[in-house]
Amino acid sequence: MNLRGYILATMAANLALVAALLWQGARMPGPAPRGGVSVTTNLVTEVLAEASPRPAMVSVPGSPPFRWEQLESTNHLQFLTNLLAIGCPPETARDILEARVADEFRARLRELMRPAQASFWDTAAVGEDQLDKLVRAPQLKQMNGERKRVLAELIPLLPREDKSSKPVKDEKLAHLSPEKLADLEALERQLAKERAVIEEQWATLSIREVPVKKRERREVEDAKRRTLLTDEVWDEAELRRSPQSQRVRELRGFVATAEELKSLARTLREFDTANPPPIRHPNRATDDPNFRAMLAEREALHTKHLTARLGEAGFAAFERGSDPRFHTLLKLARRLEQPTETAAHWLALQTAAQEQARLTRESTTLADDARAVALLAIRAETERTLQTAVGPRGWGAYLRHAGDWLGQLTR
Amino acid sequence: MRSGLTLALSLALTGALLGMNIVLHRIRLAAPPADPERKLTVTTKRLVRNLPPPTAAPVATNPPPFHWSALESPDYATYAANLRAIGCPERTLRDILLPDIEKLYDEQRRQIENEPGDHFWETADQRDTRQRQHDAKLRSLELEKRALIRQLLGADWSFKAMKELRGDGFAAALMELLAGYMDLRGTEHVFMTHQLAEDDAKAFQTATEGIYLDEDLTKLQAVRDRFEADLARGLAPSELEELRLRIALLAGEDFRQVRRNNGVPVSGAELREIAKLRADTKDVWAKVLNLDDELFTEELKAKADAAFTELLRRFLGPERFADAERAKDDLFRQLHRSTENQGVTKAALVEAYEARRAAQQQADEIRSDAQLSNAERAALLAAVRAQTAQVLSRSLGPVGYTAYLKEHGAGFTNSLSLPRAPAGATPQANSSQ
Repeated sequence: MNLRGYILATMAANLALVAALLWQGARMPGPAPRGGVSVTTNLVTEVLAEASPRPAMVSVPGSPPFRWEQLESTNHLQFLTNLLAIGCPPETARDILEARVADEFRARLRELMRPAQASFWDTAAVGEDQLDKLVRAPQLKQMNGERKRVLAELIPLLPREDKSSKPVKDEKLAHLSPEKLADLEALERQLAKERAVIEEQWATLSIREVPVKKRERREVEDAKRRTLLTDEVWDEAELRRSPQSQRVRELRGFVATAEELKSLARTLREFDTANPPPIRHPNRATDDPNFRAMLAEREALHTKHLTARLGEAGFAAFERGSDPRFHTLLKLARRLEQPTETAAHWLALQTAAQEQARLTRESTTLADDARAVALLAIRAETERTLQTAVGPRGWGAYLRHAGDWLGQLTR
Repeated sequence: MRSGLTLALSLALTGALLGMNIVLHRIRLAAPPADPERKLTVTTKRLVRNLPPPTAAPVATNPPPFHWSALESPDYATYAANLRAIGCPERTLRDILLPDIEKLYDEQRRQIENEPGDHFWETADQRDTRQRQHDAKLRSLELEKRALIRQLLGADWSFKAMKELRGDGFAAALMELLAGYMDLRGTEHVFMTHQLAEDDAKAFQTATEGIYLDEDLTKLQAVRDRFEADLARGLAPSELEELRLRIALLAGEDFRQVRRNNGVPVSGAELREIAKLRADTKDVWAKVLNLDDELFTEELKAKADAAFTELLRRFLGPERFADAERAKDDLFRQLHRSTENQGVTKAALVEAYEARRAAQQQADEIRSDAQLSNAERAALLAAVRAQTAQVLSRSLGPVGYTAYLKEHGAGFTNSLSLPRAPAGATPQANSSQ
């Protein structure tokens, strides 16, 4: 092929390429077709902190504001559910429900008793038991049963706060540490369980055997208690449980420190242990002279023992402190802002007058008339002396609260 | 040479066209398909001033649910205001606040009462002194509580009284019977006032250790007077008077025998008049506060009782007064009630009663006669019994006598046969007065 042939071939190729170029140009994609436009708006709230220009108004949360009526329902269970749903504390819900149920039944009670109200006096005039019958009517009983049932349905849903967690303080054990106290309480619970089982077994025993078993059991229990406590603490517990400690604790107008009282209780216990009270023979009369002599002897010994321990004045205060008459007089003296000694003086006057009246009554030398006159004189003189001693401010109170014995002087 | 140049130019044109075709081809292939929708995101900022706290910031379409805690406050006044703000009824408000306040003060009371420490070794005086200090603290706590309740609820209220009033059973029915003629507000007022006055009287008694000087009686009288005045403030005069008479009736033992089923013919209106006579001679308000023993001496009380008896005698007239006197005796009431519907005349009944009473007296004399042997005593008692049975049978008639024996036969036999009077069968015990 010559050069001209090459030229013609390339020109033909060029023509073909131009045609291809035109074809491709005709199929080139045009501008994209316009579809829908969706616009999402993000609303961002920017809070501008700024001091409030005035105090916040009382506002009720919620939109629209919450109203109590939204809770109300004639159905108690629904009302309760509504209360609890908004977070009302169960205790408060319980208070509201209990009051509501009570009021509802009170209204019914009122309705039930309306006829009785109208005829109240006529019913009463028939007989006292008629009014009683009204308040014990079967319908009332039935209504109360219904009320209990309603509450029984509601209240289990609202447990009451447990207030029983704090045990009652036992003064006799107040000297124990909290740990020891807890140990002792645990032991007592255990002992109580054991006792319940054992006492069931005693049911088959004879009357004589039971006290023996009880004593044995007590000893076993005390031995267990004792293992928890030191000797000193145990001794203190024993002393606190003794009747002698009760006696010193009941003293009035007797000044002593805790240690002195404890020591006095020990003294009394030692005396009682060494000198147990005489026991009267059951077949002998209560005024058995031998028995009375034994009592008097023991009493004298007791006086001597305590006088030696407390001194004359201390023993007198001890004796007076156990006298119930002195209790009232002390209170009166306190009201009149008088010291204990004043009350002691009033008591001494009373004791002297009563002794004088006793001797007058027992006197065999006096005729009945003379005895009556003598007793009247004692009473008049005693009243005069006492009135001066007590004073005008307290005399009326004395007669009202402590003066009964004056009337008895002349009987 | 020109042919060579033409060929070169043609080849160059071929290369250029080829390149353009290739580029166009690539562009066509890379062109994206048609987009159906375009998404745009627009962010807008809105400035808001004085919004509520962020936690409460509401989304307008979804507010947070209401919670009770929004009402609660450690300050009772705020709590009450919040409850009122949502429309809580006053009665419910009271039912919420009263127990709540009570629990609060109960806890404080417990703290005072559970004083720590070991106080075992103290005399009664030392304990009393401590107790008096406790009592004083408890009293001031009580007064503080009252003031708080008054501030919150606008009136005096007592949780204890409300609880009692809302109780069930016999006591509630009795209270309803006593005060149910008033509206509920009146009933509540009565019980509330009584509770507070009773508390005041007890507090005074505690503070004075129960020892009243003359000047204290004036104060006690003031407690009693205040009680009456407080009652009057919440009741109409007619309501107060009706209450006074009903209390006189229910609390008064002095005329409980004056009833038709005891053989004393009185109407309801007459009984009300008798209650008025009693209420006029006995201080009913002092009685319900248990202050009558403190405010009135035995002598004064005896005079008042005598005055009432005289007024009753005049009101009933001689015949009915005699009925009332007889009706004091259990022996008569037994005879009357057991024969009430058996057609026994009054004269016969009185005759039977006189015989029964005389027999009882004879039996008591025989029993107390130490000169008699057991056998003699038994024989004499048997004779008295037989003789009395004859009189009763004749007076009451066979039907009446049988009815009497059916109900009281055992008591009749025992009281006239046993060598010792059975318990509760002495003449004194038989008397209801």
